[in-house]
Amino acid sequence: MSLANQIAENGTMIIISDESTYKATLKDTLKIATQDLCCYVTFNKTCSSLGDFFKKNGVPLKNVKFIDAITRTIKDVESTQDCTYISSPESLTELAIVLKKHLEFPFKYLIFDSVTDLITYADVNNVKKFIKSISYQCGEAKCKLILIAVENSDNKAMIRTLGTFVDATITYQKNQ
Amino acid sequence: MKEQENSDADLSEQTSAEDIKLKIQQNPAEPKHERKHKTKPTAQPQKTAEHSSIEDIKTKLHKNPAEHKREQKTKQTHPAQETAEPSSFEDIKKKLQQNIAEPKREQKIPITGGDYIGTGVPGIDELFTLGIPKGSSVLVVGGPGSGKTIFCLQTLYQAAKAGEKVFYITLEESPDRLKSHMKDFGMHDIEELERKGKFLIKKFSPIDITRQIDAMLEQAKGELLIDLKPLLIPNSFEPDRVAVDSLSAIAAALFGKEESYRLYIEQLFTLLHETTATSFLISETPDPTQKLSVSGAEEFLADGVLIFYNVRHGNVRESAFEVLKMRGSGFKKKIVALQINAEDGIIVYPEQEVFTSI
Repeated sequence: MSLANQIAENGTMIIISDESTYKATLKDTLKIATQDLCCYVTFNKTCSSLGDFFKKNGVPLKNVKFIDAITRTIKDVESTQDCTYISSPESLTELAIVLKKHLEFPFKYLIFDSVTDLITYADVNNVKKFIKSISYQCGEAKCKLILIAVENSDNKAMIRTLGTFVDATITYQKNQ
Repeated sequence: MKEQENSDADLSEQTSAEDIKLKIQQNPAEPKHERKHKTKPTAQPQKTAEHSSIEDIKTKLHKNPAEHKREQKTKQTHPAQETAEPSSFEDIKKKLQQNIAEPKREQKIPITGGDYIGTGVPGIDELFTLGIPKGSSVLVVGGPGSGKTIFCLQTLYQAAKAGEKVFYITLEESPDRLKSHMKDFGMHDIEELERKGKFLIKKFSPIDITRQIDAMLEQAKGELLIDLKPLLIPNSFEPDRVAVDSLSAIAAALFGKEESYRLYIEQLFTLLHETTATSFLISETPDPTQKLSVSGAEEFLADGVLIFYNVRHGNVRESAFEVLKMRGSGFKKKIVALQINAEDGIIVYPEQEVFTSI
């Protein structure tokens, strides 16, 4: 089944990639999501470098609103209409407040890039609580939650646990 | 190509939010009523009004009342999902930016005028069933930088704006500095409230208070009834709301005289109970999860306890708020998120749980 079909069929999902397919996963997932209103949360790269990456790869960003948890750990920056900055990937409560406000608007997709990066910053139990809560809120708001995960030998068990909070675990394959 | 097909298939099953957007993209100037009509599911267009009402009755008859309530609550929780008709994604982004920068909440409990009062601080009053019983003495606990002083200034300011007379007793910072803080947090007309006789800020030296306490204790020679009123509240001013910032400063000045401090605190609470003023007494404590006050008696003497947390995890700190106790009023027993916003001061999110270990 194609990635698009799998995304269409599920409300909340985790898309598992590895280091070699991670960038392709981001590109292909956002290509699908950007057909509608999409909120993209980054715990990995800054919003500006992600913007460059997607533009270079022909992913239109006109329907995308970014939430950036990285830039403010490097420099002080004011939020804009295209990107809301939060203090740090560790500030889960601050992120939850910002996400709640976003989910009051008709976003169809909420993408976390990546949930495995989030685990490296924040306490695992708090991340589990957070994902459960956001997953529930997305369900209420009829917004699809897509968690991107980069699997390695250290985080397999954690990803499996997160998989129990969502409707589907999708393993990314190139040219799906 | 395949993706395009999928996308087309998706479009035939648009949710109402998608319909809104699609419709807006097609014709942004289309009248409101038409847009609403098209957001309805199109799968059963032949449904008559009568038919749908019978279906509604059947659904309602089979629906568990709790489930029905839950559904209604969900609708209230996401009003924008039901009613938002943003004209473009640019508008949505603009509104989001405004909502994040200036979150506004409705004041459900009147700040003044009843047997129960509101704090006027966004989100806090929603944690109470009725409000804070008028005349209560409330201990405001927290570590450094947790928002205790801003909270007290904010609630007194809101009360003064609502017509009450308020009195801020400071034992640490100067009145000018406090007024400067207030302006930083959007309370720009503090001087006007002062001129109108609604807001009084007075600085007391903890050392002077200590000397007076010592002298009075010496005079009283073991008697517990000490008239503390002249020490704090001017005779000419009958406040509706008082803040004392802070009990910890008095305790520090009475270091080594724990018995004197204990007697003073007992008398202070007795005095506050006798007045009709609602009082907020700041207790600074390094870790409110371990200790709420200097002597350990303050939290038992007070009618209410509000805790401001400022928890460090990793490289960041997150703030949280809790109503621990409030005699004579129901309240939600949970720790909720708090933010200190440069423009608006303290904002509490009564429905937002905290993703940190407290």
